Amino acid sequence: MPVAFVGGKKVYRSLNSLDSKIKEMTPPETVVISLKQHIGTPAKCVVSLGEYVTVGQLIGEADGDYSANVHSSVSGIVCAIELDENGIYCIKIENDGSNTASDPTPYTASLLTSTPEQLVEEISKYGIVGRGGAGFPTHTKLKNTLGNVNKFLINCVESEPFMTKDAALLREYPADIVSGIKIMMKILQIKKADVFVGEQMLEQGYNFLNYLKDRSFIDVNLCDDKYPQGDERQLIAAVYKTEIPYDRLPPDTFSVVFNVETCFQIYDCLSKGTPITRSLISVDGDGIETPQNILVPLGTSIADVIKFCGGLKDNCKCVVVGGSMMGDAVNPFDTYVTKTTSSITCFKNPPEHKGEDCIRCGRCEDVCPMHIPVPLLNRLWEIDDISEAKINMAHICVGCGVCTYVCPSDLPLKDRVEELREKIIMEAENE
Amino acid sequence: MSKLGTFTAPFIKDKAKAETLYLDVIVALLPPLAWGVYIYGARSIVITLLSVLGAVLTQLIWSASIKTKLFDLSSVITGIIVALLCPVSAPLWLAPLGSAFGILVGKLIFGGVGRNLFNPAALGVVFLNVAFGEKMNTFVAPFEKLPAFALAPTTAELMENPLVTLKNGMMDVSNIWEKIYGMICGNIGEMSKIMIVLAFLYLFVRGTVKLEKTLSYIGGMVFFVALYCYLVAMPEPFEYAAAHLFSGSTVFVAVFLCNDYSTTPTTSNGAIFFGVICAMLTTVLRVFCDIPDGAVFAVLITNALVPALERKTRMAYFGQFFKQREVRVNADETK
Repeated sequence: MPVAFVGGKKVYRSLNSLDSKIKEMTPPETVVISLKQHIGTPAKCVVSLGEYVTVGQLIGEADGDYSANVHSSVSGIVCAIELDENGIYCIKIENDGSNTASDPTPYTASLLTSTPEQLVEEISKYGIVGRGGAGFPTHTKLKNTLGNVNKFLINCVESEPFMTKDAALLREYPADIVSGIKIMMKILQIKKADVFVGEQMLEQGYNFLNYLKDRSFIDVNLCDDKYPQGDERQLIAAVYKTEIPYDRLPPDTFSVVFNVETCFQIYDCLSKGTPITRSLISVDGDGIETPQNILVPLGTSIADVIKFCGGLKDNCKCVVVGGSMMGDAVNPFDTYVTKTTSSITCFKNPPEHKGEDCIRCGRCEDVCPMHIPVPLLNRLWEIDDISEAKINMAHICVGCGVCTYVCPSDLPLKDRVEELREKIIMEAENE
Repeated sequence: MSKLGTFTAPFIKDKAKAETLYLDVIVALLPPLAWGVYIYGARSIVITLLSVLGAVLTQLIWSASIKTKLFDLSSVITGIIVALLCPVSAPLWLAPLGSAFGILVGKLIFGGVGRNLFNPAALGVVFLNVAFGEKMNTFVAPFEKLPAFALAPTTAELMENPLVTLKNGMMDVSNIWEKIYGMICGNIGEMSKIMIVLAFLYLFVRGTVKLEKTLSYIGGMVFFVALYCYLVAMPEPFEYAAAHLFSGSTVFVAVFLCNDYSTTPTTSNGAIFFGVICAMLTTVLRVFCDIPDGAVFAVLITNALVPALERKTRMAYFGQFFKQREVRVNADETK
């Protein structure tokens, strides 16, 4: 029986990008690499204008524990270091096309004899961050959970529709994933790892299970194809029936969740000695010519990725980065691929959410994964009652957008609840 | 790429639309109406159309005078429901009066659909029952075809409301199957229980309604009537309960009035409480009071409890139990 959390909704899903093999994108002429591709403090710039950098060379050094290294994804001249609209330094590198790489030193030789601390130290060099969307630095997460967890979950649920990168990874690199999981198990000193796959990738999950043969240390489990099952709190709620509050983290229940792609990246980096310079991205939607999964060099503009995928169809109205349920419509020319970018989706007819009257059907309340009374919060938004909204827990909204998805009146419920949430947080800060 | 618009997440959308939901309910109301036409002839349709006209006209005049969104299908539903809860022998002006009153006082002055506390159709029917009690409670025998366009038909054979018989302690268990088929006298839409169940199945399959409200009301009816029989030591309590369930508008109310979105709780637990409280009130009104069919009255009274019910039956928010346990553990440690 597949496990599932309470609430959620099976949303429209597209698997078009799963058909073809994972491709590598040819590096573009220029890349713009932000020094903040993770949660926490931005990295410090360690290159100067006009310097020649190689593929995989350190260009941003981690600043403190909650930070991650940033490396160049192409070889060439640093032609600009400028601030973006958020005040973060971005390094613009002109690609010389030679693809010169700094000589890598694989770590596999000493893998068996290293202690967990040494392994975490090694991982921290490669600038690996979580692939769930927030971009929590992986080495920090490992350091924080070292020795105080006994449940290890690997998240391959991928509940965002239009995203198939985890399924494709499971299909094409099972050996790398298993090796990555083994390294993680060694670091965390856990004997058993559980991989959770969504029902939509039943075939890939089954093949992975056959590849494993021995299920005693890595097991594969099935989750309902329901959005937002891929959230780590919802995954733990589904598996262990423990709901972790908004201000607590999984280690408080002795569990830790890692994305399957993080496991893959850890093995990939350690075995080759090369840092993270590419992101695996699902490109899909009814507005793109050829949907596919591609490995994109960091700092590539979204427009270049779209061009590589055959371009947009004529009547495509919006390009979304970050998933069709939670992402943002962006201008493809001034948005660049970061370590947390996981999907580019192009839509011909996106809904406008311009409804007026709530008919109180209660669908939003039924599907809300945080179980907050959305119809009531909608009314409270209308009269701008912040204190009552706080009593009704508007501030624990995770912004998954499933309420807006189901609303038959086309109300922008997610935007309204998030507005209340921001006001509550602002009020709490002012006090 | 130049003509990209501004949009916000999510970028996909469920198929369900408010207008589709209203249409579903209208379609579901057709089988009971069809049975009404089969039993009583074309006059049923005339009454229904006039009632819809009354509701829609009221809505249009109101909207035009305060300049809001002109029209939505929910007033059509109110019109049909009021008509289906009127007897066929009623004068033609009765149902439109009820539906206009219900729409105006029950919905429009509260601010329109979704903001109303009381079910507009229930309010309209209750208004008619209070104001024109005699006209609302006389029935003609089945297959007695009345002239379709006569303003106030005078018929030779008027029958007493079967619920009055039931109230007086007389019971005709023998024709319980006739009540289920619908070969009885009654209001236009409430006769055939099979048609109403058919409508409910349609709504359920379409995902328009949930099971809780209807089943808790019907279960509550059986329980409370049987409990009453047990307490007054009446023989065969379940037969009596079945007679109550299949007489009057119980099943119709359970399917159509208890499933109204605006005036019932949005929480699942609240919906169950709503059904049970409503069933209790129906039983009390039918057994102890002078109102022959208390179901619609009960719905109206329970509507007033909805905000309180919702408040008390909210689902625990995500992580609430974790927090409560944490507080408990901390308190234990400080001891």
